[in-house]
Amino acid sequence: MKKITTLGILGMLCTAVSVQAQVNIYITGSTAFRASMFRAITNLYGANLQNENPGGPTANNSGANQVTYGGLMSGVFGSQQVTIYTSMSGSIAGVQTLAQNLNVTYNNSPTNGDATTVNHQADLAFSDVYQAATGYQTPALADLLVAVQPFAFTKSISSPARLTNITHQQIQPFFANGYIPLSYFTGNTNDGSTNCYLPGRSIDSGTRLTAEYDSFFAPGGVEQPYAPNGSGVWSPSVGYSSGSGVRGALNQANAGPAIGYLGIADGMVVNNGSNNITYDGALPYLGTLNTGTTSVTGTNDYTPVIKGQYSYWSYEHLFERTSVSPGSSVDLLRSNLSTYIDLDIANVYPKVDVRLSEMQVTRPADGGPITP
Amino acid sequence: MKIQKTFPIALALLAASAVASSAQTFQYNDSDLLIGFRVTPGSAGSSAYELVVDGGSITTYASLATGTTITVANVTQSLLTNSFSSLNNISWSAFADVSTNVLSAGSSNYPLHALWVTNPRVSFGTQTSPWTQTSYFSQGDVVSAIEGLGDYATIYGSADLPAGPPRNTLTGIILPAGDPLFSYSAYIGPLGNFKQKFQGDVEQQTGASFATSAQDVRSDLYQLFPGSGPGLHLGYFELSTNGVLTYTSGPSAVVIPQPTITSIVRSGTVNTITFSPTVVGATYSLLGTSSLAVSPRSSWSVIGSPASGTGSPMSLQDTGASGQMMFYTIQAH
Repeated sequence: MKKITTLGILGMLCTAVSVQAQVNIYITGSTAFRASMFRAITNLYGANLQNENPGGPTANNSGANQVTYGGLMSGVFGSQQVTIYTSMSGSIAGVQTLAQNLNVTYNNSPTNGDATTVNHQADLAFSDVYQAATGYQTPALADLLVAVQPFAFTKSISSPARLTNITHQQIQPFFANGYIPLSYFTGNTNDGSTNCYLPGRSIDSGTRLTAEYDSFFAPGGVEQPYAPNGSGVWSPSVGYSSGSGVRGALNQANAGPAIGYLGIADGMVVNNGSNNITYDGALPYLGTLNTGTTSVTGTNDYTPVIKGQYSYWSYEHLFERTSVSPGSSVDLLRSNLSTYIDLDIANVYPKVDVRLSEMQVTRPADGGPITP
Repeated sequence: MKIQKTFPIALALLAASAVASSAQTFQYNDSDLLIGFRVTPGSAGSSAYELVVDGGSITTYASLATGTTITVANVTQSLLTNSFSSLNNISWSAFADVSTNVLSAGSSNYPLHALWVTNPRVSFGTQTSPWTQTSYFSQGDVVSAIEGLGDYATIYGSADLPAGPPRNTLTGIILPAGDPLFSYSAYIGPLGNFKQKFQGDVEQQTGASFATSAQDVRSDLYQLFPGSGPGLHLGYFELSTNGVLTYTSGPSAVVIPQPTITSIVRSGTVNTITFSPTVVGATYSLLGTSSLAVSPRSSWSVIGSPASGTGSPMSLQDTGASGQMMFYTIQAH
């Protein structure tokens, strides 16, 4: 009888410990999708977001690559303290770190201003591409499609107005060489002695890989990005680790003509979204890109993506290891992120992504055929 | 005692060395020569694998003294036998580039988008026509394919294969045949022309009975700088029937098959002697005698002027034939 009582007390203690256990989840992967991820995470916390590093709980870190959040997600984890670590360095890097159990550097604490970092394995990875399109195909990861992400080709702010289109055939030598005479795109003989450069992404990038597959550049070749220095002189580069680097190069006034590839949110930061050029004659949206934050000023019609006239888009994937147990903290967060991302796309402006339920076409692989 | 104490240490060092060695994975460096092997598409051969070998810096080959032959030691029997059941029906090629790196050797500086590419010989002893140099941007397309193969083979070796033999060594990697991202085929394409980025097929084929044929195969190596005009012939690779790959700098010695007199036609005082086969690069002379007692044949009288080989049946004439019995022979050199 005495033994039973003791066991009962121990059992209660274990339960109490379990209830109070802290949830720590580490996320990495796509930089192009980080704005949607940021809003989904902060909405999951809601009013119970106690801190956010950097910037504090009211900071807008939709463009930041490394953020740590702290607080309660009452609807998902009850009263447990939840810390979400995010460190985004590209889709393929995310798949690699998850498949190979590599460490990623995160902000160590959600406390605003704490500059210490911690290296930790990721639990979840956002990716713009299927695992099969990456170099890290084993072990297989559990894939969850959460959205459709349109991309666009965007010209630099010092590119001429006559630079209006790029074809998938033109992309192939452009990506292979990293620059090409501007006249190749404009047809203007006066542009023959001016180069148009490619401020490309690093090999870890899903945005890059999607562009390569969609233009049939890949597989079969490797891209050669260039980058401008402060004086606007371009040289070969390993590529930018984030879309923010590309948009920075495109916004550099002294760097001359250039064409990059960006997610819609990053493209909005280049001449307010007006520098997106057509790809094979089409844009991912109808009319002009709206960048406002209300349903009136920020809605965008992605019919060309939804119906199949525009092909530079990908599914956004949220990967976890197959060893993750259904119903575990990681799995719970993943399914809730998916729900909140979908809600975010439906309700947040400017609209930069497409809900899965809106799509009237599908594609089985990156760069694969698009069919109704 | 001292020996007994140091012995385990020596063993430990050996073991550590072995671990370090076996932990190596394939590594491609800028401007290294890559050599790819695969089963010839459409042939009767089959394999689950393809092979890519890093042959070291292209400058080793480009600056080799004329007439010198080296063995490409990184093409090992182990890699070949672990990739293919035999050397029959194998296609192979070798190539290198300058992508964005600085490359020089001695007094030679190589420009960006320089290419080195093989051209397979149809005839073992006959040098091929050179590839044509093309624009910086056109050659850049091929650079992209070569760098893609090297980079993704390196990634595959670091991410998807156990380090070390049999499949993954510092200088050779056995890749999954036909993989859309990681195979040699993904970059060389079905026609051996880098997915139509290059002007022709760079692959040599061994054929269905190569391993037992006693006939090696050769591919010439050309250096192509961005520009125009013919590329520079540097030398040739030779794959032997037992799987040894060598490289010889400079032009190859012309192998001259023995010509046979196929006809003698008399017209007036002119005898026309026709013979074959002939090869480009050889010189043919007509020798004659009225008596077979004259020996050796090389001491017979030279008739007329020598002629250069054309690769086709040729004729030489004895324009002073008096009508007496004559014996002719063809001397080739």
